Amino acid sequence: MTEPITTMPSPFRMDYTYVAGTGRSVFLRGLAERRLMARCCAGCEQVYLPPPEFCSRCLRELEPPFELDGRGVVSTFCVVSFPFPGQRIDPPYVVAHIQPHGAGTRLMHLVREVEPEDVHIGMAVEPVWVSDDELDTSLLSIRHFRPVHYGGADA
Amino acid sequence: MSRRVAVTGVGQSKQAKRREVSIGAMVREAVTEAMADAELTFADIDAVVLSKTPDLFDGVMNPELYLADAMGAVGLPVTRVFTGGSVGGHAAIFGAHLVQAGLAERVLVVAYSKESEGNFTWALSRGLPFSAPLGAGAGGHFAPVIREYIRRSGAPEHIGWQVAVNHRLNAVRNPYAHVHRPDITVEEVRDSRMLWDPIRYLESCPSSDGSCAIVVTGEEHAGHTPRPSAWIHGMAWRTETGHFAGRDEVNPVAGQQCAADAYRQAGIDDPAAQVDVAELYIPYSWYEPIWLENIGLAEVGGGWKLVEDGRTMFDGALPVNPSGGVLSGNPTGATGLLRFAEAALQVRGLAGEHQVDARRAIGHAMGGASQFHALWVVGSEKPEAAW
Repeated sequence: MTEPITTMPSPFRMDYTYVAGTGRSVFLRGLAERRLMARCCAGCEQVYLPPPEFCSRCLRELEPPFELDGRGVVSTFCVVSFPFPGQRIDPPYVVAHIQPHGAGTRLMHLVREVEPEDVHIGMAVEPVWVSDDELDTSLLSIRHFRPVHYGGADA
Repeated sequence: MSRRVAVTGVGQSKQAKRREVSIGAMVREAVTEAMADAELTFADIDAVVLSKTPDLFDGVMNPELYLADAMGAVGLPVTRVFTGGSVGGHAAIFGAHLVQAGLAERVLVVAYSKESEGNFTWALSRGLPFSAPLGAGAGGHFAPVIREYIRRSGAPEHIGWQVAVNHRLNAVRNPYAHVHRPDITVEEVRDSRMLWDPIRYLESCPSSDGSCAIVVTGEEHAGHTPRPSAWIHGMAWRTETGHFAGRDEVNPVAGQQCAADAYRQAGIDDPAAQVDVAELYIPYSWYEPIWLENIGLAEVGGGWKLVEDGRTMFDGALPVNPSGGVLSGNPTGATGLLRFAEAALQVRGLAGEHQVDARRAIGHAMGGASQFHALWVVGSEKPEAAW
């Protein structure tokens, strides 16, 4: 008696050409130069990082780009605590929503150079950029964020 | 002036890892059950609506074409509705809109996912230049939001464990549920493996295969079967983008407005008092208090107290997810429609072992990064006036 065929794996892959558009291209080119380029909406005075071309609230075109230094605070976070296929970092590690100073949006990124149990909401952090030869037009140009101390107090 | 609309048929498959059936056969299980419940044949159906997560998730492109036979859709207009996990709720409302607008008399709404045939983590983790490769997965997105809710509300940590227990005990009453853990305890949830701190293993939904189908009809066609209809008293969907400056993902504005619109249509001004039962999209236990507050069933900051007081348990004043909910079965493409269908079953008095005393029920669905929201209010009685 032969076993019935219940599954037949058929892996497939697909390559995409990603068109960032003129607005997002400003942000991506900035990353390759260790610069975080933000834009403000003149309608609601909210600041976007990364900036699209138009404000999602007001639907008006954003003002010209300007640079933020990337320092900010941990808005909230989780600790990835279990292994799964394709993981690049050994758990536990911290994935945080980071609110850069001057931005109304949050970036999702790793917080490292600190024990996970010492990370807390409100912690001041700064970006750690990759070396010159690794810089690229992607958020991979920021390796992770790490705590920054302003005389011991949180920002 | 539009028509009154009712749900007259509900069907669903067993939720599980369904390696013994093809996608088409699994979809057909729910379709057959819904058609039998409505006492209709395919010749009575005017249009078919399919709810499904992205094609990438289980690898079948254009499933609305592939499933034409399974859905009895040959020769009929078919519409694929496509959002995130909320998609089943959107599909139900879209089907009802077709009837309400007079474009169809009877609509079959179908939903499924067969997650065991694909790889969700891979499909959800495609690299884009705007996001760092964090290796966080779905839970890694929602866990920080939960942490923020806990911090804002000051809720004690056992709330999440208690919700996980409540829903799994409810699921024991539902033969279609994927997870059956009749002996589950708060201690067991507390001691289960930490996945995405603060989310533990037993506070998370499973990955399931499953299908669901409903029949929606105009009032002229409802009430002609031996079984009662579920009348739609109000329905709404709202969407916000996942990335706008000043966005609050703990209490999304789109969810608030979605619920408020549906309540307005239903003539509800005090939802916590005027709704008898709620089927909410709760993939992680803490989303019970989060959604209770977002859709106005609890005060902001007070959702967890309803859990603490046992009000949302099976025999509480406002039972949440008597079916066992998403925590007990999550075929994502069907999960939203299951919530809407379970609400309909409750007001029809056809929920079997998990029936509660309900004249008015909420079905709710959420998708993406809490971007997509859909909600309907169904009742056992015909609404006084179409809205």
